Amino acid sequence: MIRKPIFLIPVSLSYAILAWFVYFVINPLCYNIFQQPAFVLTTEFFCKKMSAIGGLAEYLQTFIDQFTMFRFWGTMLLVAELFVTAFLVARYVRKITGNIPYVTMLAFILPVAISIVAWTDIRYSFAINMQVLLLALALNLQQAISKYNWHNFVVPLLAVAVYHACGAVALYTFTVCNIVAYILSPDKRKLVGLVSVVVVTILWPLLVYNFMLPVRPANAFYDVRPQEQMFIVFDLKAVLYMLFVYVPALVIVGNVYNRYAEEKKTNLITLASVVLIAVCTVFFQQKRDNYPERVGYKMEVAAYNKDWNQILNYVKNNSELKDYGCYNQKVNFYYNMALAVKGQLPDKMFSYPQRMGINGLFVDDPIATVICLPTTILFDQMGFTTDALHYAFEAQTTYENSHYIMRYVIDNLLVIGDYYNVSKYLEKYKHVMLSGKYVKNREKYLNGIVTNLDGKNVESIRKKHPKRDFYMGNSQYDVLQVVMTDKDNAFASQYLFASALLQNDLDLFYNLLLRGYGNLNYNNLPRAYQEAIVLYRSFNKSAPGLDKLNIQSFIVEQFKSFQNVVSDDRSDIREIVQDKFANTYWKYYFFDNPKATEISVE
Amino acid sequence: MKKILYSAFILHLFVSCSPTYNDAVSGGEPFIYPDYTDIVIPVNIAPLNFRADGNAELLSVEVKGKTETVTLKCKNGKAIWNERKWRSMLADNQNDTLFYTATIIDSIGRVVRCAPFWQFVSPDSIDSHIAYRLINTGYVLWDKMGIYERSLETFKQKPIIENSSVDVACMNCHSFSAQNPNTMLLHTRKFNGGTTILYDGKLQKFNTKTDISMSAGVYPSWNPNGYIIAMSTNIIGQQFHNDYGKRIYVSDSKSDIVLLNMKTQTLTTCPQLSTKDLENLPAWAPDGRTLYYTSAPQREGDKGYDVGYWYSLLRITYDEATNSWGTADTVLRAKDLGGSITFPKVSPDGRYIAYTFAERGYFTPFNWEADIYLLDLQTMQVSLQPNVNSSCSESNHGWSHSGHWLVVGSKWPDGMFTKPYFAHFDGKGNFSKRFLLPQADPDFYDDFTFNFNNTDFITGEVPTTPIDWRDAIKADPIQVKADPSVDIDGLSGATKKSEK
Repeated sequence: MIRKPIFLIPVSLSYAILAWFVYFVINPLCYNIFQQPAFVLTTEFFCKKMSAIGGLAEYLQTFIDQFTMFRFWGTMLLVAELFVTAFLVARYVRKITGNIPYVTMLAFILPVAISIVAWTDIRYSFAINMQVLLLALALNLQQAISKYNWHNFVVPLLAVAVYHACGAVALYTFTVCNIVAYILSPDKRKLVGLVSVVVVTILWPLLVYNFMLPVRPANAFYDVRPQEQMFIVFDLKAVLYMLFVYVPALVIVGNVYNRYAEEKKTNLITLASVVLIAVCTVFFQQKRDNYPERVGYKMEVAAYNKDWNQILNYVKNNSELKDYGCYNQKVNFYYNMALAVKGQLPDKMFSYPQRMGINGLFVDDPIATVICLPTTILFDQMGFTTDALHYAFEAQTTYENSHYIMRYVIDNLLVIGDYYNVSKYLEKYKHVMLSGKYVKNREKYLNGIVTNLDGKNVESIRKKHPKRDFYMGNSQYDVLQVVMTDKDNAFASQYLFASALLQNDLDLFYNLLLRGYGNLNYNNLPRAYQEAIVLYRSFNKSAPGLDKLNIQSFIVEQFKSFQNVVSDDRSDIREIVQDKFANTYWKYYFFDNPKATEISVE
Repeated sequence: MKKILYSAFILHLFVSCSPTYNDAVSGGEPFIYPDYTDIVIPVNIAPLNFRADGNAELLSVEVKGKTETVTLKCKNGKAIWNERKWRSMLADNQNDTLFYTATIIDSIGRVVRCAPFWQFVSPDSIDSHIAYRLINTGYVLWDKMGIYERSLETFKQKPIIENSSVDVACMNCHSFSAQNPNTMLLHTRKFNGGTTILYDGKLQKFNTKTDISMSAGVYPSWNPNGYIIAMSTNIIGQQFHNDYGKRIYVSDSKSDIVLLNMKTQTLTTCPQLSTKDLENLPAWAPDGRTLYYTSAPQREGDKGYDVGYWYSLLRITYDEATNSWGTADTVLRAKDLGGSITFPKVSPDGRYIAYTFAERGYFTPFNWEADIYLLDLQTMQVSLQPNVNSSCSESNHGWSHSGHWLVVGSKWPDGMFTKPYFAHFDGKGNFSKRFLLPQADPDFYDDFTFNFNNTDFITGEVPTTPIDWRDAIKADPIQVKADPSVDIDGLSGATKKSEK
């Protein structure tokens, strides 16, 4: 179709760029951990999906989406799916408008451009791609049967099938394509078929909505996203519709091109189009890109895989993440967690802008679906099994079959020793594709003997878990209970002290210190702790037990200098503090804490 | 000759491969799942399919009735009835007993012919349907949920309404007037909030919050007259236990009771039901004049861990004709029983009240110690009902229309998921051993991770479609009127507006 290099090069290049973009920039793993697709091999799952408009596309796409848990295969499948869609669209357009290499090239590169812009947001639903693929398939089928007399009877049925398989917008696109094709075609015998398609397009969604399926109006009439994802806020919704619009648009472009383009100008038009598309793509991609958010999800993947070094490296290698405009609560949360795992939270916590205060340490307030997995990861890491399980169950309300959630539920039930329900969840999880290896591994523990779960010492967690019953909910209080049960739980201790510091609650911090939580060496306290003690001493000189604590002299000196700076009535105090005391607790205490900056969680 | 030899060979193969179990050893009663051994079953129940429990495998089951013996061949270790055969067996053996003799391969590979167990076919038919909410194990968040009706005579389940069509609104407290599917109530919260009521053939959504009520209506009870609904109004909170066995404790900081008259669309109450105490969970007696409810003393500032409210059982009379109330009368005092009384349900003959008794609180699905008790209103005797209870939580029970059957929501055996169990009531204070809601596949519950919440009997299918409910729920609510003769402030209980 497009053998000339001027056409072939942009097409090849665009798919190579798309593959690079998916693999390196958006990373299928981030998409996977955000949307948590799971394909269930049961008729119930199939029927449930099919009960919504566009259900078939959603069902098939879920099958593809599940492979995004593998970075390479996820990338390949998504790109291949788009290529097949483009191929089918190009084939259809060629059949309608004739073989125009320029239009064929557009058919291939336009979806890449649209996808780069759309996929930048991890909220994008790939089911839209499957809708367009199935639509293109239907258009080709319709085109193939158009020569037969019975075409007029079949085409309205095809329209109904498109509606149920791909959704309302696909149906509208199908109809518009039919109208355009009819106008362009010299054969006017297809009028009956066209009229019946138009009638179906107008009436069928109304009939379905009012008498057949209890779906939401958005699902029946205009939204391209699966029913389950309609509540996910997606900026620039127009992008979602572009893949549909481009199909009839190409037919029109082909026709215009046929009429007006001169052969000698082909190369110029092609080059200009490619450049224009590339510029627009880069512009809109940059506009839509939420880099810190993407890093947050990359960190979530790393935290799930317990790759703490990678999390620390993200911050180390991308210093802009510390900038005010780049702040992201999830990045803050996972960075703190990685520091705590490495035992570096007290030393390095304030080298990162803790803009959200304690809400960068715990993200469970207010509770919402998005915080459930992070909170599960946190409490699982802390060994606080009951709370990890609590949040895993909350997450499961939305992500019923998610690999991530299922595994946390099953592992924490194993730690608790509730083998009856482990068996139940394993039985359920068995039906989810790609779960086989995990299920097989965990089934061997159903006899009640479980000592090690992927490196976790189960007996040790059981021993350290708070035995006393109490009401969970306030994370700081929960962590206190964990630390009270096991003073050696270094991870939890760091969180406890950090929570006191981040709330500017020096009384609590000092009390925890005196009570010996965290088994700290008083002669070699972490820097942030020493800074907090010096500060506390300045407020409360008669506090008991202070003599035991060894504060390094340079910190005392530095604090004096800090006091001098802040006591000056200068307009550039903030700049000086930023310059000289950038990573200190004092800066956080006076300038950066959420009360001072009036930042709150949305 | 060749043909004969060939046939003989095939026959030999067939015989040698067929289990004859002649060498089977004798054993005790089998352990089967679900446990359908030695139970009373209604004549119109769906087939009770089962399998062997644990590591044993069912080979065959011989079912002996009055006139006929049926052998169930157990494919994949499951005893699955042909529905037509099952129905004819029940019809032929009404008021008689079916004896089941199972042959199993036990966990050490022996073929065991078990001792027979029985099922008595009661002529007391059970209501044809139940309605329930299916919800997963989230406590604060929710996503997919729905209210479903299930035929007890077949395995057919249908959604009354699923929340996916109403913007994933939380939906709860579905309730019917005297098990009549033509009068139904359902609350929706968060999105499209309100109370949607099927009454007089119409589905309409109402806002039941008025200035004489602290919240919209919550826990409902329909008066048998079919147009008055008693509802609690509650300010509800929940806490999560570190103790895995306890999980969650739901409590109210305030609660009262109101009546909604559907004829006049008016909400009324009285000072006795709007005190500072926590009036809750109304339940009408079949006379339509007596309203039972629970009440616990309000303790200001008590929000600590150790505090658990003990609810007593009270009653009050209401005369609709004069819109007048009697005096509140304590029926069972929590202090005397040493725990909390909740979910009172009056039997259709008005003689008994089945209630849940727990260590504390009123929302007891997560109280593992919660059990069903029966109060005989004639003798005022209270009795624990061992046949309907287990070591897990029993709660959310309901009487059938005839009063011969009780449905109980029990978390047995997993302790996590509520499932409906049924037990026959002899009308003299005794229940037969309960049995689990039958499913076509006995493995159904193995991977089912939803709760059957608030299961209630209904005498037929609800005559609406999910589309009707969607349209009603998405419509703007009709504001109910507050009874102008009531001078009570909604939030502060009995404080009169004029005094305020």
